[in-house]
Amino acid sequence: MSLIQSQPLELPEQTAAVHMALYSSVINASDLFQRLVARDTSLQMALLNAETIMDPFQIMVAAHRAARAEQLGQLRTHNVHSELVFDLSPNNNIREALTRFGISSGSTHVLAVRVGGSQEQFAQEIAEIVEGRQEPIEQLSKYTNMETVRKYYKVPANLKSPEDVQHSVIGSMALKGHS
Amino acid sequence: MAELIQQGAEAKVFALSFYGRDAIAKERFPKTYRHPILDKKLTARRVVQEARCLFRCQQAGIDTPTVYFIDTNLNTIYMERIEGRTVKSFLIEHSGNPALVDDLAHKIGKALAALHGINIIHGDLTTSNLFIRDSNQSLVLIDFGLSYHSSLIEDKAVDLYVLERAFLSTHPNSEVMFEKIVQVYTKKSRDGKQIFAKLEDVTVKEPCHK
Repeated sequence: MSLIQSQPLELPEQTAAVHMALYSSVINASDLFQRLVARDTSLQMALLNAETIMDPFQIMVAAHRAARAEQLGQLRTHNVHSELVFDLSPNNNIREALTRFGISSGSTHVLAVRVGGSQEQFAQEIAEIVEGRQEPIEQLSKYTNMETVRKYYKVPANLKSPEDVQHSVIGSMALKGHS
Repeated sequence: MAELIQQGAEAKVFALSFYGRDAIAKERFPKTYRHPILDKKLTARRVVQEARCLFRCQQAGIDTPTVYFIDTNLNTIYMERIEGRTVKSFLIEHSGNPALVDDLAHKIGKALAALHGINIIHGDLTTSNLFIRDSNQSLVLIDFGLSYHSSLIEDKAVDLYVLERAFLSTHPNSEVMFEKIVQVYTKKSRDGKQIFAKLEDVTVKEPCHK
């Protein structure tokens, strides 16, 4: 049974699925990072630093925005996957978004996200790409670094409960570029 | 999937699910009496302004619906749907229970002081735009469609005045409750006394406007 979680997009006239696979103990992050920097086109996915993600909803919000931008021909980055990484960030600095939310050479917990295609195909590809231990997506919150999340999203100190933090994170993403 | 739950003069509101969460989509439609290009700009600005006010409140710890997505192309805001009831329906049911009413007045006064504390004017305070969350009985401010940023005492006083009119016209014998709201508001608010004085001013002026 696959540990990949798939969820369809809820865009007008667009129901492609978003697939997510979570890995811990990743040993080839450095290699993957190099391939991303070199714009290796065989990596048709977003490779994220799992520490910055609270739950799959955060991913779906970014995926929705990225896929909507692609649909309207309004991408700010190269493709829907880099746009997804960019849309996780609360500000418009692309480079900063990629360094903060994308994997780096030292990443050990990685969340791989693919927009579109079938789950089987993604499962097959990802197995050859990421070297690490695949985990159920429900484990994601175990790897979330709340301090990092608070810092990257500038969550005000008065918001303390995990729910409030999550709402603040989602709101920051939604308001990106509008405030 | 989306169900139309409200058709207002400014917008349509749909109930729907947004990636597993109960949500509403508020779509502003074009105003045909305006020039199309101007209308597009104004509508887009209004959509963003509403979302921005909601977000500012949220960041300040004032309970408001979380914004999920702004579709500038469709002039639509997707946001959290509050599981709860309006203060209006609560008051109709519980107006005879002073303890409950007093507690609610306290919550409203405090929330409004916080709202004006970050210089946001709601613009349409009614007992239908105040919600009580089922899960924790928290007071939630909704519908920021007419809201804006202002630090003017008069704007804040008028905001309260609108609520007062809403109270007195919808809920018989609610004078005591509104007094309590203003009392708490005045205590919690930075410029409470001045705003209160202005409110009295605005109220006295009222007959002349009619």
